Amino acid sequence: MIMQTRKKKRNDPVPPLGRLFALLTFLFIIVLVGGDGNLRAQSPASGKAHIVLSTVSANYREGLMQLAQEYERLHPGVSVTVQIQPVNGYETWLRTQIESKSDAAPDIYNINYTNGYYERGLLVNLTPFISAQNPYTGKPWRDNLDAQFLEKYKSGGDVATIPLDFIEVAFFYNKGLFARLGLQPPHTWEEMLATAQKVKAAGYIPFAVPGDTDSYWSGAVGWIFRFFTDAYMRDAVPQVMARPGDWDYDPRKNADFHLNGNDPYNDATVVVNPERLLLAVRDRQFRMDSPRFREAYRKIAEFAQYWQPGFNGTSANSAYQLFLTQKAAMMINTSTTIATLARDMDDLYPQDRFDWDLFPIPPMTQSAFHIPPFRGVGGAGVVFGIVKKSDEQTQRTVDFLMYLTTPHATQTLVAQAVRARQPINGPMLIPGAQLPEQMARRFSAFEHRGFEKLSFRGLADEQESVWKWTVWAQRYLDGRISVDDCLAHYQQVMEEAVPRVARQMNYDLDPRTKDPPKP
Amino acid sequence: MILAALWRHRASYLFLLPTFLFLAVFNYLPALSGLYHAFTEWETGGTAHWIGLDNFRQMAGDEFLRLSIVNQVILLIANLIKTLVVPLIVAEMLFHLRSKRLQYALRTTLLIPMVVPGMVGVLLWGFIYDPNIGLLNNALTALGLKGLTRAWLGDWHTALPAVIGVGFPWISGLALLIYLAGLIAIPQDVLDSCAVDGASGWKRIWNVDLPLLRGQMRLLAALTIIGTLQDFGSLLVLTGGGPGLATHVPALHMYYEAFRFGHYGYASAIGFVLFLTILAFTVANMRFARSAVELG
Repeated sequence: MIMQTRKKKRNDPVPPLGRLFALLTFLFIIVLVGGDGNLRAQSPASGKAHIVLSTVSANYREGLMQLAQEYERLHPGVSVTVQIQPVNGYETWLRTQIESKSDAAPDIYNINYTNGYYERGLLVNLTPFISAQNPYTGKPWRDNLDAQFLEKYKSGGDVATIPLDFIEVAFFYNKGLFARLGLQPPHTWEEMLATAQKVKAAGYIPFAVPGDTDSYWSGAVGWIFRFFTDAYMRDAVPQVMARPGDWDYDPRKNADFHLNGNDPYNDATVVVNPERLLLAVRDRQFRMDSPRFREAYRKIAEFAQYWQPGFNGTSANSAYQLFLTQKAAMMINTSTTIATLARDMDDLYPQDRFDWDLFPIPPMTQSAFHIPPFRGVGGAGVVFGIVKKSDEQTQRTVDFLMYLTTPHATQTLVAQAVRARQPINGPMLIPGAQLPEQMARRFSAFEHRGFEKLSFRGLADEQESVWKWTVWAQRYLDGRISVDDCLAHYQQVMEEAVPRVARQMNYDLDPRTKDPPKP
Repeated sequence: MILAALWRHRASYLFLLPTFLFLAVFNYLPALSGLYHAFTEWETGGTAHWIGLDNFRQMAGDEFLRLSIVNQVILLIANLIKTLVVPLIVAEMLFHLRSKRLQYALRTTLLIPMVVPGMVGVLLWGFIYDPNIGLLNNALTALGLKGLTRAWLGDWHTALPAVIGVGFPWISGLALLIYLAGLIAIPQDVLDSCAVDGASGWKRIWNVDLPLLRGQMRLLAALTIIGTLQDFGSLLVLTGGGPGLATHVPALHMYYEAFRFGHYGYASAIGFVLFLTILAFTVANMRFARSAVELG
């Protein structure tokens, strides 16, 4: 009997353990190949046309889910999947899916994570749709979109991105501490520094400012340099705006433009020719080592004296904690922080809570140059684009995006975010949302200030130039190199970046010819 | 004949197949692809174009890469000291404990941290070094040493030393195990001879243990060199290479070039040079490992 059993086992093509192992391997491969690891709000229904919206804006999760369901009820033949993705790895995932033209690529996504995709022919040109009627409002689609932001995000004169809301920066201040020290929110930059001096004398940190590498690259220090350089370069806009004969010249926007520094929106819709900008840098009409930049950088270094010691090693979270624990009297932060701070304040012990408020970046009044008030440097929080697929899919996806940009949709996003105690990025760019009264009041510090036009932190957000600028700027604010050394290096960084940017954007550096997106 | 033998042992080969499959897909194919792309201009979304040695010429003139090599050498020397010296001291102390029970308990205690993912440790050290809410500065303040507090990772002078300090007291579980195994493998008759000759304490460590642990030390040195040259994750999390270029290293440069700037061809060239360097040490490691067996 034993012999028979052994013989039977030997004849078995695959031993039981081997079978188990093979099965586990098979399952592992299936999971590896089949699972995309994304959080899906709704599974695609078989036989239906399918739209995938992928976003990192988890704060609008409930609102987007509701809108997707509503849209499905309006269009029974269409199913919508809302993918809420983690920020970490989102960019890499998008690049692998969209560039490989994978079936798993989303239809709609946060396009601010993939700079230059329209130029590479990967996104849908929405320009023809903008003037078409939005069936959900009965009006042209553009009527519900923010004209200035459409212009701001234009690529090669085309609309490829639709912003829903915007994130802006302002100063948060400890109202209770200000009252105890007899201080008022400042109205000018100089008043602000004088206030900071008094705060410092009282033993507190005037400003909590993160200064680690990320902060220069894409955070607070980067914002500061941007609003400074925007103000200092405001009068250079006419030098690089599109002129008659340029491929993107629009007489309605540029012909009658006269610079007015007192109007923050004066150049809002003026078309800047990106090739003229590159040429201005290449031909040294715009010089980073100019007296204007020198003064701007010196002013920033003066401001940095009031930041917490060791700001270059401070993360965004650490700086926020300084303000939350009342060690710092002020901090520069974004509109998204309003909800976060309100929530964190509720979580503190009652004796640790404090009154806080905001003031906008105050204008500078003392300068060797005529410097207009600082403007906003924020951008769209949720800004959607559509991945180029079949014409039929494009039509379908555009229709869904039109639904997402109705006043009803905006109200839904806001209402659901408030209900779920989620932050709202900032003021909405689609009309129709009723914000809670206190939130609307606090958002006012971010509004009506205009938006940067020509700001410099690297060149055209080309990442290599931004990083190299980060290296020199960090050394400068660290006191290791002089302002002249810093700006000389920065000038070199900018000149080296011009050909890279031109290659990346497919520009031939002739402002008169429109360069098509890469095929 | 061979096919018949393969068929007879098919279950065994089936066991091996997934390992080789995944090795090929995830290790060898990307490496070969990187090797090829090191000689191409390959930008995000574009097609790779053969450019010969241009990437390597660019590397020769890359100021930031050159500066990063200096940091890398400092980090490498520090890591070698951390890995070779501290675990050896602890292993000797453990080995010479008379109570085997205590030895076992301490050994287990020292090895348990191995189960914590390395990145968790790095993040914890990031909190420890935080200039505002970090443990180190708060501890110094509590001890009346406020003058010593600083932005450890944000100050040019202290950033690299702070990175080196991560993991203090640097008792690497793996190194400790390897040293302990080496000490345990020393033949009893050698130890008896030492005792007869009157060699004890430092004399024994210097004249017997260290020569017989040379193989283990070479192995650990090679592993440390490979690990240090490959590692950029901890620096990316702790400092991003800053402030300025204070903690920038070639592997981080490669990461930035590829995944932030989209210069995949150039990044592949940096990776290729790193690969050659690491390969040289790996080959050396194989030789040293053999000598370790001979000594053991």
